[in-house]
Amino acid sequence: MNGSSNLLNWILWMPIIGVLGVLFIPKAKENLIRFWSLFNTVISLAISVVLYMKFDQTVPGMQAFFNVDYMWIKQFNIHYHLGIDGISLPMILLTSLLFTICILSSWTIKKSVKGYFALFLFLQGSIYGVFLSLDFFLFYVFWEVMLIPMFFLIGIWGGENREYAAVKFFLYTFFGSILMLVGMIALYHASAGTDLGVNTFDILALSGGKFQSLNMELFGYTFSFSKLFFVFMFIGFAIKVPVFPFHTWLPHAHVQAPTAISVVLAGVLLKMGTYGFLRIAFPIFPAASVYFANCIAWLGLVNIIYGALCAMAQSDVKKLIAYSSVSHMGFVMLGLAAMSIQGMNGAVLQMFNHGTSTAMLFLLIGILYERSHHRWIIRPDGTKGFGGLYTQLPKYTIIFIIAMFASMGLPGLSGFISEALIFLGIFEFNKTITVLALFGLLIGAAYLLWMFKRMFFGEVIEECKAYTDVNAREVLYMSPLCVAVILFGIWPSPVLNIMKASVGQLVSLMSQF
Amino acid sequence: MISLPSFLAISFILFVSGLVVMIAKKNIIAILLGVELILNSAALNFAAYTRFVNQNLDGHIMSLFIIIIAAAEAAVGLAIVIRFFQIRESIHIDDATQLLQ
Amino acid sequence: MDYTIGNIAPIILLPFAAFVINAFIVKKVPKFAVGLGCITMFASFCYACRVFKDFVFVTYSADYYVHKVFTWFDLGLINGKPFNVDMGIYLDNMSAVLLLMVTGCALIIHIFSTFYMEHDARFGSFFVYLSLFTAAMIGLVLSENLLSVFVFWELMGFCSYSLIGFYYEKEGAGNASMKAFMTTRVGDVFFLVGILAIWSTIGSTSFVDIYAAIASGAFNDLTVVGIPLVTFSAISIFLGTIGKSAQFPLQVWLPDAMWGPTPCSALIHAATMVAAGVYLSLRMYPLMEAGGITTVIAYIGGITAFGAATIALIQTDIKAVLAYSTISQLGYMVLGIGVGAYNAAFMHLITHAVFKACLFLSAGSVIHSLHDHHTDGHVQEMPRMGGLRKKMPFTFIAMLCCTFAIAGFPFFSGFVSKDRILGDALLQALDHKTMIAPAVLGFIAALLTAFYMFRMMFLTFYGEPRDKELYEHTDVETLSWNRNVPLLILTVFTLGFWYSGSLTGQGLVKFPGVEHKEWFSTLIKKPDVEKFTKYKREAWGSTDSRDQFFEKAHYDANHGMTEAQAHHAHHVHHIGAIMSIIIAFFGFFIAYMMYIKKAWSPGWWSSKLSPWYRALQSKYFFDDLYIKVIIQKGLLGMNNFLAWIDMGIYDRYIVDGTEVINRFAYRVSNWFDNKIVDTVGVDGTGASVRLFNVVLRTIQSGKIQFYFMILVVVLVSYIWTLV
Repeated sequence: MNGSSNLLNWILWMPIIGVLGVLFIPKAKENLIRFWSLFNTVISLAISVVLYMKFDQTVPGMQAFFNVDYMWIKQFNIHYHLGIDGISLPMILLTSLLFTICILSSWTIKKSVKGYFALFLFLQGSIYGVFLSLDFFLFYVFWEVMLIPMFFLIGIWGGENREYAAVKFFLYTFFGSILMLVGMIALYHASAGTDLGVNTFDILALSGGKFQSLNMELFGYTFSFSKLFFVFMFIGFAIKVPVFPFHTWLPHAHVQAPTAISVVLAGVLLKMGTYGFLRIAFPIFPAASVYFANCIAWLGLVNIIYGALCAMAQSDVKKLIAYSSVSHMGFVMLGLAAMSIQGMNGAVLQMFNHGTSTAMLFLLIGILYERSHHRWIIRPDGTKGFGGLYTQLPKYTIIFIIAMFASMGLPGLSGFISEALIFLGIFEFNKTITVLALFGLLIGAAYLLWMFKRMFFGEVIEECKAYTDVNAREVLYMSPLCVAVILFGIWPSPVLNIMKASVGQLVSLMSQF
Repeated sequence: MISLPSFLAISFILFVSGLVVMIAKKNIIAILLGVELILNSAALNFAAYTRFVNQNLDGHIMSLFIIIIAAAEAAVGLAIVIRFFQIRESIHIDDATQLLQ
Repeated sequence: MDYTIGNIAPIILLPFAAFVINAFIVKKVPKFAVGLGCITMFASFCYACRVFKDFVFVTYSADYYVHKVFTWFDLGLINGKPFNVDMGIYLDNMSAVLLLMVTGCALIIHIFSTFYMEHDARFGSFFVYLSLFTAAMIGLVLSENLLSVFVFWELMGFCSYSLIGFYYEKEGAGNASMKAFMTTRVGDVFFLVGILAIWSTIGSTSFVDIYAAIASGAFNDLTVVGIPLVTFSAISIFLGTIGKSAQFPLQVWLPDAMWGPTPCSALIHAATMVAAGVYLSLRMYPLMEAGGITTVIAYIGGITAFGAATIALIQTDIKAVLAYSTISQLGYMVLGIGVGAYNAAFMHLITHAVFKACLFLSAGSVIHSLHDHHTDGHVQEMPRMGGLRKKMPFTFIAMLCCTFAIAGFPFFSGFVSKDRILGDALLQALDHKTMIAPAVLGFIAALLTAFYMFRMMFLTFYGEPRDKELYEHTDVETLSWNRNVPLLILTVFTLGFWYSGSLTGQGLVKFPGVEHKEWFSTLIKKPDVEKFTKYKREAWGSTDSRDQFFEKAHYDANHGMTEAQAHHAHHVHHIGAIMSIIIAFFGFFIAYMMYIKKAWSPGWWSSKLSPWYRALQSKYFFDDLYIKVIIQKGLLGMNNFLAWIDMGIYDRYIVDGTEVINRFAYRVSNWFDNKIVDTVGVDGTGASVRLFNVVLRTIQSGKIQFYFMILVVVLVSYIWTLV
């Protein structure tokens, strides 16, 4: 049942072609490596645009036109099955856009250029794999493979404490993956007992609440199969999101990672967790998801408030933004927990919008870091790290204002619509949570504005006087994000139209349980 | 008409001399030559059998294939020897004892 | 004219386009940007005049409104019904009047800014923000639903933030802008809660749908967290008003907002944005009434009007006096809403916008002239002024007229509107005991208003100059078009007869062939929710009420009262009017005695009432409470504690602590391995292994030929055995 298009193969393997290309370029020719990587990501971006244009927005679920399905390992019925629907396409677009921008922002990497770009493109390929796989086994392979380049990118090109952060990131995620693996194997074995009749890893075949009445024994206790393995999968994905209390790898990884990696981490990698809920945990165990919805919502609320409060206490800008990601992903969790059209659409839109706005903030911090080589708002000894940047860097400040207000959900910029939809969804679900979560918005504005006030207002402090304003390359890669943030704030339909049919289908599935 | 046993005899002689060279000689290049001899004896066997037993082209093709392999093997072997020489300034086989560790 | 979204759009799109274009070109051609901002503003103003003409001169009906929607975005079907998020216009008499006021004030302030900001380094940037702000304010006035009100509301908040922080080299501007944004954001969050409550209940946030839902009882019997839904949403939305209109207890941000350039204070923090909060409550008046919170509103308004007026008594900064007077006047409007003086509250909104804009511009004119050569800055402190009426006669006249207006002197606009609010407050107080306090507070605030405004006038323009050097350096005011014309126009509109005829005998709206008396009271009527039940919007379609409602008057002439009640009300209003006149003159008299005659000493009063005086100096301790206690002690303390828990305890000991478990497991297995498995099991076999070891070690020489020979020997012997 292959569709008439090989586009998904192309987009998945294009970065791998890029990796091979990088490997063949001599180490000394750094510029060639950079341009080749840029060229490669631009091709990927072009393919995603073609995907967008060929995408039929009225069709819910997987689009037959793009379907790619080959037998991979026949003995275990494992397929190489790729597909795309309205939930994965925004993520693909986001990935393509952010990687192109990140290549541009990585132009100034000095240490081992060849290895960096090869790993970076490898990372891109594995992320595409996660968003495109429709076979659980394949999904798991990409999910794990993604850790390898990430580990090295943080561990080699990171800050002072990079090894600790890299190992922590790896082990944390790996812990989740193991639970997910157990769940995956359990599903595989259980699938033969359902109306499927065969053991399979096919996500689409497994979904639809087939394991509802199944029970299993573990350590002498009887568990509901779906609830038990929903919890397993939940933890696996929750670590990636990250949901409180599995969030502590994130500040370390963000602070230590180089700029582009932070951008990818916050912009795309975190979305893999919530994407996992939407693609795997919810459709396969709908009844268990509904059963645990309240729990997810409360965890989301804790994320929002706790992340925002912790962000306020940080004096390292990057750590502050890292905690703000924890807070913002809490909104996505709320939207997912609402299980209504508004909430789910809001959640997917928030995944996209957070990807753009937080990427902007991390890029901007990276730009500043290249000039200052530190990130302290207030240094540990109590002196100001930055001051009067508004006067010193006017253009930079304007971009920063756009990013900051998009992040705090100012109407007219992208964050608002997704947050409003999420709140609308969750209000019908649980009013107490909504009212409390809205305070997250308040604190969200507070920590960003407070940071902005301390860094940008006032007289220019002595050490900031040497900083130069953004250059042409930096403006070049910031402007697409600025446009995206403003455009989707005023006119969200292009993104919403892609997703709404697929989300609608998912919600109607959930509403049967 | 030379018969099959004659070919086999020559092939055997070639093989044994190759073996002896490989074991006895200490010069790596000489050892490589021994390998060549063994390969040639194999090639000769292929050609002989296909001529007297099968009456088709399979053995000939195999012989040609062995020649190609031999060439490639020689190239790789010599490359290793050169690199080895660069490192150890010697082509004496007893200097290559790193497998011990 | 038939209004459609297409032909009403230019009024908002023109300033918005100016903003977009100017944002890109302002650095290169600031003068052009200024010109573009003013021209688009003028075009918008002309358009607003056109709308005003249609509503006030042509249609002249309390019921006429235009309502058009389009779909902003949709999410497909939800439970079989389409879920659309709409945007659109809702244009009635109130919007038309407000539109004229907003565009008019904005235009005048644009023109004045070309004078005031001319020598500023960021002359052009100022106009970029002004354009965006005006576009947002117009958008808010035209909005047909609460969501779009919220969108523009927040956009204005952003402009306000940017303009308060306009002088970003100053640390204080940063603090003030953040304070303003965060304080209003507290209200906004509740406003959003209210929107969500309404939205999720009736599936729409359109005003028309909300009125219809209230009238049809769609909110009945629903509760949120134990409170009836209608009360819950009314309180939430009113909290939005409290934030935006700087009402008690969120009034703290407005005085700090004076860090912005004076024209922006005039436009944003006096005339338009802060009034938007009042406008919202007026729009949602049926909800407030249905929610039963009008008493609360009246109290909030009364407390604000009184409290802010008292703080204004001791301010020495001319802009600070005006800022507190703005809070106080906004309190009057809220009080008006609370006592049901719908029409008067709205009229006060308009009259206040005009005279307060004029006051701020006059203050700006004064400040601009007073240039301190020592600090190279402008002087705002009244103790350094005095006797300035000789230097700036035109500004003086403008400011004097406005002071008469705000103090409530007859024939001026402030009297007309404030008197009606106080009249209605008195009426309510006579009927309900609970409403006595707000009315009393309102009347005392009127007295205080008259006093502190004349105090400001006397300190600024009368007496001997207190800073001689400054006075000498000040140039005599010369007439210039962009300084005095704006003041003149605004001064003309501080006269009462434009708004009402209750004192002059004539409501003056004349147009060739048309003459309307008391147009304000005729056109702006308390919405009668009943009428909306007859008129439910077709599902997601657009409608124009013209045909259905043009003929029918749904209000009787007496504001929904019987003849006897109307007579009583009329009577009470007369008493109220007389009282407010007396009070205004009394306030003037005290100020005169204190600051002109110097017969009464202000110092005597402040020493007599010293605890209160100290409370006034620290603005009733609200800043201390919010910043020192709630934010620094509470919030930041909690944040630091949480962050410490997160990284110092949770991550360090619990997450990384799993390593300890690992290490323990490793130790145990290591011990088992060494002591049990190794010593007993392995070491026994170890001896034999050691034997082999010796043999094998000699064989493993590393010499490849030796290995090879062994191979051959083994092979040959193997073949040998086979054979």
